[in-house]
Amino acid sequence: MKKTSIYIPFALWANRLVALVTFALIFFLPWILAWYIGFRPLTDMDRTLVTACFYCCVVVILWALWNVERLLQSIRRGQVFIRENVTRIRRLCYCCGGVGLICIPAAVAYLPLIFLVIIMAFLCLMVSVVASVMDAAVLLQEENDLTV
Amino acid sequence: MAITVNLDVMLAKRKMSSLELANRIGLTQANLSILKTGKAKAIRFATLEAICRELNCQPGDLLEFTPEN
Repeated sequence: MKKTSIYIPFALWANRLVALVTFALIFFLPWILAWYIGFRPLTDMDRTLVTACFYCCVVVILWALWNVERLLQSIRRGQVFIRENVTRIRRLCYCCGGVGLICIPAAVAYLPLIFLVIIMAFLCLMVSVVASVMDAAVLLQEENDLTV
Repeated sequence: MAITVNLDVMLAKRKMSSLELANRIGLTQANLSILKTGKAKAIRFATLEAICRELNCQPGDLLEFTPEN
């Protein structure tokens, strides 16, 4: 438990920092995108499509970060293997998949973004495995709790 | 579950409260309640031994198997 107490505050602060950066992205996304896409010019329609996709991703990312915050707070309280945490990890899996799906039209407009789609699909798979392992752990915990 | 725990019956026969039994065997009343209400998934032999010793009975007096049809 001592190892968990060292990493959890760090993870919590990292999560909040990423949330801050994501909020900042809401305002600076057009300029960041213009700089990034500047390497390969896009039509105005493609640029709008990519921008719209990324703004949709920001909403999904913020929801994922909220779930991470709730998960880490729960772990800090000592509630690790509970049903709610499995739900939160599954939601993270859906967020990864969701971001990947949202980025598909963006990747059609700007091909290098296909790597983002592939990475998100892979992350979705990995997080899904973690959720399944967590589910099994919760079953074991529930059995253990009901062993007299 | 197919296994029924007749702890209430034995407590009544021995005229002992669940709180008293819990204190004697070193179990919390909450855990004993889990056993009484049939929510327990498993019981340790040490717990079963302690209950049988305090209630002066056999495991068969406490546990009953009813096939699920």
